[in-house]
Amino acid sequence: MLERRFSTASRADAAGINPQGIPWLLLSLALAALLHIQHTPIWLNIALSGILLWRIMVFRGRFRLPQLWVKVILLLLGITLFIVSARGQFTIENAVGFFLLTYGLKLLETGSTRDAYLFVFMTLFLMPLGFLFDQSIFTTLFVFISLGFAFIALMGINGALERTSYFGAVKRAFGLFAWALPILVVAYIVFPRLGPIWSMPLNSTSAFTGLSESMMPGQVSNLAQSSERAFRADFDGPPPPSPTLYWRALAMDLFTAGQWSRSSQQRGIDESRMLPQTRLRRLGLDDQAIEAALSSPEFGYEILLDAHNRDWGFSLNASIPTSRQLSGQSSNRGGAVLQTLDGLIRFARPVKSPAAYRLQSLPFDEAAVEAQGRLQAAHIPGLPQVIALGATAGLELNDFHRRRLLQLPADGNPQTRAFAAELREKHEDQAAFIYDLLNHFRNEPYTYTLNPPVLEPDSNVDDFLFGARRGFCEHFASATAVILRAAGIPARIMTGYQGGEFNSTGGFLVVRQYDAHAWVEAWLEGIGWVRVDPTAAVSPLRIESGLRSAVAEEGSFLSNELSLSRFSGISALNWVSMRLEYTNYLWQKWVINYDQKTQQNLLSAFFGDVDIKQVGFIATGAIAGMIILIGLMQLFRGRRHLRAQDPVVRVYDRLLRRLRRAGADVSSSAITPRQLCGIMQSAGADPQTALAISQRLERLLYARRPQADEARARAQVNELRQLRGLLRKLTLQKTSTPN
Amino acid sequence: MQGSAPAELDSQRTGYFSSVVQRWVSRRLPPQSRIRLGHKNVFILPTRWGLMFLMTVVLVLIAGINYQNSMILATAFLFFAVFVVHIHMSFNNFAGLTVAFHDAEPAHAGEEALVNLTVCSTRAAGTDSGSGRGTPATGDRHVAIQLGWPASTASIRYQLIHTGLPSTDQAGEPGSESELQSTTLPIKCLRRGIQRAPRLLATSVYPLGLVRVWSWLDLDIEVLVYPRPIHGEANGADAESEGDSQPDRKLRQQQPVDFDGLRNYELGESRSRIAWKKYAQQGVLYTKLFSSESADPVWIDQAAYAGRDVELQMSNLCAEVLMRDQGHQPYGLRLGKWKLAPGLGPQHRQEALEALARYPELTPNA
Repeated sequence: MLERRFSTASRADAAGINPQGIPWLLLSLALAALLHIQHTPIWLNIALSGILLWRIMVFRGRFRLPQLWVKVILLLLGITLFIVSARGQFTIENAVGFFLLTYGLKLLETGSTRDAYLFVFMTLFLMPLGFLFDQSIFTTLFVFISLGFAFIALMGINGALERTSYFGAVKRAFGLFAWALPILVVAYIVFPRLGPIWSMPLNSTSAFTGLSESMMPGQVSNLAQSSERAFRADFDGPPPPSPTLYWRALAMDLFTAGQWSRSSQQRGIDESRMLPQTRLRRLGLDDQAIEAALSSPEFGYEILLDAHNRDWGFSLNASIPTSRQLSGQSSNRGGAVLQTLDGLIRFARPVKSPAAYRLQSLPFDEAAVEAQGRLQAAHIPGLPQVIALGATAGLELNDFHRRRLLQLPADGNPQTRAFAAELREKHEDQAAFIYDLLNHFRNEPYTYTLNPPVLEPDSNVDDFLFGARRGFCEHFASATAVILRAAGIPARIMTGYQGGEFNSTGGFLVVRQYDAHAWVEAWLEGIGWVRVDPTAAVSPLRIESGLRSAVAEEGSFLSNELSLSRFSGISALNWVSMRLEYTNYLWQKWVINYDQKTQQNLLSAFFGDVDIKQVGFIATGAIAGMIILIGLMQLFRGRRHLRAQDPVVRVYDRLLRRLRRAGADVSSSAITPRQLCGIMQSAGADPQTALAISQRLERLLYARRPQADEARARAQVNELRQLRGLLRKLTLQKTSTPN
Repeated sequence: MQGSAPAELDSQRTGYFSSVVQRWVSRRLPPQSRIRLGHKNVFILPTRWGLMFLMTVVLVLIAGINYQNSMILATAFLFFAVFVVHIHMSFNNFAGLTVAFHDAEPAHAGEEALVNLTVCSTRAAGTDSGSGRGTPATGDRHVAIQLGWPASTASIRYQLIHTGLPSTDQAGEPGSESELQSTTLPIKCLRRGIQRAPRLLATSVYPLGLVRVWSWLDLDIEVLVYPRPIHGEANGADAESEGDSQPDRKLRQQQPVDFDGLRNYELGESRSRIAWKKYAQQGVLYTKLFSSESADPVWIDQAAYAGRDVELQMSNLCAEVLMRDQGHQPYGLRLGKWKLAPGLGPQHRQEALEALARYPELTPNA
């Protein structure tokens, strides 16, 4: 009978996989495909579904596994499709996709236990690759749960799921995880965080959404269809009001064929990255002032950046980074935080996983305040302010830079040029000119829309200004910059994000892709850099309360996307999404961004100053200790159960142990109290005591009464006490073992 | 499927281990009739799948380090932790199992002897008791443990006989402190005499198959092996009292005519000789007796087969014993200075065969 029970297991050895493993193998494939569905081609997912169906039919005995030639054809077909859809690019999506393809085909030829093991190991490698794209708490849960199913598959293949229900199997796998969790946590905390062993390019096509290097009208509005998060900002103090939150990222100075991009000179500026101190020194601050600026506690904030695979960061104007390294990027080579001459944040290399850096808003710039006062003189009531940015916003213009910032194509957009000249005629003062331009945008029938018409690149400013008059922020910004340049005012396009959603639960600001924005920065004589945002003149709502309200009438907000953000007008959903966002924020802040520096700080708090070598020792010790601890816990778990048991059984067990020590043969565990009497006597116990003990034991063990009867319960307790007394009196002698 | 290839006694232990390991194992695991698996006698090593799993862990770890990806690192740690817990679980599932040698049913050389073992869970001193929870995270105890003799030196994995204890969880019965299970393992006997069985292998890869726990159990199993029955012409056959020539004997065997009476059925007697009609009438089993059985006892004498190899003598004697037994003719056995008084029946046959198995180590009684 016993043998029969295992016959399935042995059958599995001989031919084919143990059928108990198969459903879980199929589930693993489905979950792996689901995890990567966003960044793998559609045909691959259809193919995987097909494979899954085929395999289910095989499992149910309807189909057979394919012949060799079918598999070869499928493989060749898959590879061909792959080469076509990958278009020769080696990106991480393509790599994962290719792996997924071979993985799916592997399932189709998985016929033996060996294949099944290999398939599970492939699953175990494929699942964590999902973290390359997203490390949020939800993805983590998804991946870990899927891994649980992969381990169930392993149990099934191994024949460890005999007579176990699906639920029982799940319980068993996650029981395994429950024991593994403490080791995982300790290892995560103490395992030394090393830099990359070698540099592996991680190119990605679609995995990262975000700003692009150039700005063509129509691009930002595409971005605005995404509710993906760009970054989070956590202010030490209360967050500044939303309309002042202009997150600068890229300055674009070259206008060609209707497109704004960075000229090589601008790139030069962007690349001449320097430490904040150096930069402040160049701006003319002395060491003391720099020290004061950096240590001023007032306006510190932290940016938790989502991976965007770019080397730029985001900052408010007049901010300097106080982190030298991105946290969450444990390598020394990876994440230097630097600042360009225009005050923009740059990193030593693209950010491929979530990272964080701190910034400090500089104390008030008196020159900027004075400049703002002068701008105020030209202000037209009802129009948004033109903001003086102060010295930190960019370079003092020399002739070279002036020419660069006045560059316009030799021809094109004649109407715009004429309009600029005409407007310039009216105003001697540059500030007044700008305000009049903004007034034009406000008074003429311009529409702020997410669905702007498509315009001819070479004449898009003319077409926009005097034709369609419908546009998104980049249309207004582009037109404004062209007009300013045509009127002889140096100007550039600035792209980044504007505003953000305040998460009141977590007290941080979430900036999403739909907050992407483009505006203009201009250089005014005697004033310096100013920020001009024509969008604010056309659609004040956009700046004050965000894109959602601005396009509410149009109903185009996130119209292509089904996401929680779209429905955040509903308060319950809003609350839920806020909570989720907050959870994720904490997750990223405390778990994902745990890196070499935080590790060292944490360990130093316990072990004094530690270097990387000592971290290694601590790690080894802690992990080894944890393993031993888990072992002991498992070992003593049962014993604890034993102790917690009935006191009578405990007494009985203790007696057995004493007898065993005395050399009596009590190894057969089915000893009745009556037999014990004889054994005790043969071990040299006084016959009367032995009899009394065995009688009491018998009564207590077998003549149980319900505990509810109080008098009897007390009698039982008494009897037990007597038994214990008797046991104390019991003397045993060492006997020779009779077996 | 069971006992796909019974172990051969003859392969002994030389093949499995080099002599050094062999000596170490025998020092470490001395023979005992009853062995409880525990810290002292259980070995644990990764299987090849375990090694491959560890390679996967390293790969994931490298990916995590190289891409500076916290959660990929965490996954590597999870795998590592699962491996560690697996070791503990495997051990806990295995340890506490007690295997005891009960008895071995004798067999003829060339046949399979059946070795009866008692398998029980003794957790009283160690890990588990009435709670019914054995290995962590499972309700089962001692599941998927394989017990048996390796069939050949080449493979110790696949040709094992499986055994295990029921999961108390599933069966719904409260886990008593020990559940006795008897299990029977066949073992191939090649040579006459008392054979010591090689070490039993108890092994398990529960639950994930990444780690193998095993123990070599020397349960001091001794199997009595009867000679292989080989018919042989006795020297001067005609001189013997029964005086039958071979064809006659065969004839007699085939036709045990002359019904002679009934006697009570004894366990072990041929069913074909049960008086079923009587059973139908009275409900009592009787064995039909035939005239030949009441004949004069014959002496089966080693001397009659003198001059040949001892093993062949024993084989011939054995064949004759079996023949007489089948023919229900009382017989006595004389082996040198030892003799067995004439008689009949299973008990008698067993005594005779045992003597044949033990020869020449017999106490002279004649």
